Amino acid sequence: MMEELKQAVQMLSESIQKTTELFYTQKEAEGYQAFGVLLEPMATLLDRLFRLQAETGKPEFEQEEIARLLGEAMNAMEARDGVLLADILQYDFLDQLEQIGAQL
Amino acid sequence: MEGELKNITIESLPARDGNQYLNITTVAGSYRMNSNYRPLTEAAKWAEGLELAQTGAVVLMYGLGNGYCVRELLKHLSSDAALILWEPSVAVYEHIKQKYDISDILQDARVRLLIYGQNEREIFALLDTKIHWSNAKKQSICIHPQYDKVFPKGLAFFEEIIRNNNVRIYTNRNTEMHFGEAIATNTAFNLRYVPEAFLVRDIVGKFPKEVPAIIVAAGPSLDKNIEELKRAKGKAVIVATDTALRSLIKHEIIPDFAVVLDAKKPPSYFQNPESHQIPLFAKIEANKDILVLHQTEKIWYDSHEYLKRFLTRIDRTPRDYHAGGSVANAAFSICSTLGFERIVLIGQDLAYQGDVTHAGGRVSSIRAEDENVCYVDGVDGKPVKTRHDWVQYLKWFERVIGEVQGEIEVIDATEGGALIRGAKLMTLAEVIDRYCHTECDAYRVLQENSRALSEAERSKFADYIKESLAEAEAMEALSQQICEQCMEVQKALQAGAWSLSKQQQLREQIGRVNARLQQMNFFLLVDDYTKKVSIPAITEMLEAEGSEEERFAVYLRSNCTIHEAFKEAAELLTPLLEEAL
Repeated sequence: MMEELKQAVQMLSESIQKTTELFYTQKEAEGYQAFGVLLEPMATLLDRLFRLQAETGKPEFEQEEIARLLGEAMNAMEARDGVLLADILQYDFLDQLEQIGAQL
Repeated sequence: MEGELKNITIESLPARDGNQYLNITTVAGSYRMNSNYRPLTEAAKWAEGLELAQTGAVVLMYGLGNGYCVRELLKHLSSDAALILWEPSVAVYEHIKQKYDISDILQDARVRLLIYGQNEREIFALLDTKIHWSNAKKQSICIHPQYDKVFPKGLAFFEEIIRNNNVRIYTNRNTEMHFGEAIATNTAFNLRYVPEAFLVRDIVGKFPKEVPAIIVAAGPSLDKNIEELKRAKGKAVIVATDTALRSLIKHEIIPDFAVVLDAKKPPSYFQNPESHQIPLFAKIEANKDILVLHQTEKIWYDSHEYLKRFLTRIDRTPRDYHAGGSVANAAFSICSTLGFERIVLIGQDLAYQGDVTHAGGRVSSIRAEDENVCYVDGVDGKPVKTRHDWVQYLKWFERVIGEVQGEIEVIDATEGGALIRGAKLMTLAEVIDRYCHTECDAYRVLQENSRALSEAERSKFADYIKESLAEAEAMEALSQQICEQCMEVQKALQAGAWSLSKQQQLREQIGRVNARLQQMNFFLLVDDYTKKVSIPAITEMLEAEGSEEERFAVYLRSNCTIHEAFKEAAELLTPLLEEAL
């Protein structure tokens, strides 16, 4: 299961990077569309990670921090600030995801 | 547009990586113009995403920002590229100059920065020189992140300028193809008038300042006030467009000057013998049949580059002339160059009156007229029916009137037709009552200040023509050689007996011959003469697709076609040049 989770984290990281590229290159409409597609797998993965942490105490990460970052990302999306959304995903969220992936 | 430039707060704040990012707050909200995490990385990614021509790109960028994006963009541009940078806000520019070092950008030879409210009018000349139909496809428009949100009206204005320029480019391309042969033939033929002709530059500033110039065009409204014009004779300088001559002469009004523009203008506009005796502002490429009819002073107001080179050689370079599409546009340019401080337009409807297009109830139709009909604001505030070509002339007037604002008062005394923004509306009667009080003998001003070529200059002119004749001979031989070579390689290529590895050598050889031809003064005539053939051939070469062999075959075929046309042009133009001797 851990290996499967690790792969899911890696896939999500790659998808996020591709999405942020769209925002940085001013392809905003495509970027928001790609981000919309990402939301469901992202929520499913986080739910699995939260449950695993609750059951085993691993991987170590702050659920509140993840929730805060996602809240900021949603605010950026509502404000139609594509670059801010990309920044949050690229530099904050991915950083957290990489730390989690390293523990799996 | 002005509204979005007011009440803005510009700040530069530290990003997470220690660099500064730009933040602009307007009434609509607060906008980070860069990433506030890693602005330099963001700029690099932004630039990587742009689609740019590998060589000779012309990039039109909206927004300077703090220079991060511009600097990254420049890394992707070749040394022969051009970057026209449009900053919509003076306040942003002042902030950037104060907070950032952008000297590297400003000193980059590829960059031209235009700031709205400071030097934005230069864009027209810049687009004119940087973008031609042959490189129009190398244009890219890019927008600095967030500028479309902060300054949306400014962006619409910028895009409108570019759109209009592209319409102009492709119209010019078609015009060059349509008129090229006539332009070259007329120029070569009309060279015989050069020794006796005058130049506009000699009479610049010679007319009394208080005397207005009245430009008479042939719109339908001319019928309303043409009789009134008699009162202005001798107290204004009356400049008639070629199309207005017949109406004026019919009403026994002899203008001080006439203007002719088109290389294919029908000579019937000069059917009245009276019109042959009116000093004529002409281009040397004007219809030769009209210049044959015309018997008095010809004054070059602009020149084909071929003549310009000679005039420059004898230190009589013509004054700059801002090209407009219509003969009335040309008349306005001439009057503006001559230094008139008040220019009055009459008969400048730029619109239909019912179905009537011209004075005297004349109806002159164009091809696909129905597709060209559109509506613009009229002088009475109601929409008036017009045509796309007239709209182009109208836009030209509005742009140029904006450019000369404060220096020239432009009055539209047409008393009908389309509204020309920037021109003051008056009746012709009011204009005459208010401004036509000082006597002015325009013919005397012309005679006292102009001169024909001196004996020494005539001798230099003969030398110039002889040089061209020698060039024509050399051109015929060189083009013949290229044709033979291209045909030979084409055959060998088809037979599989020619290796593509040798193509670079042949391309260089043809390139050297082409460069040699292009240095010839005579080439300026040949180039125009062959536009009908060379433009499609060059377009085919530029747009060629397929395998390397297929593209090379197009290259050979196009060069062969072009050089065949060069030979033919040289043969046909040579006797006309000989007659000028």
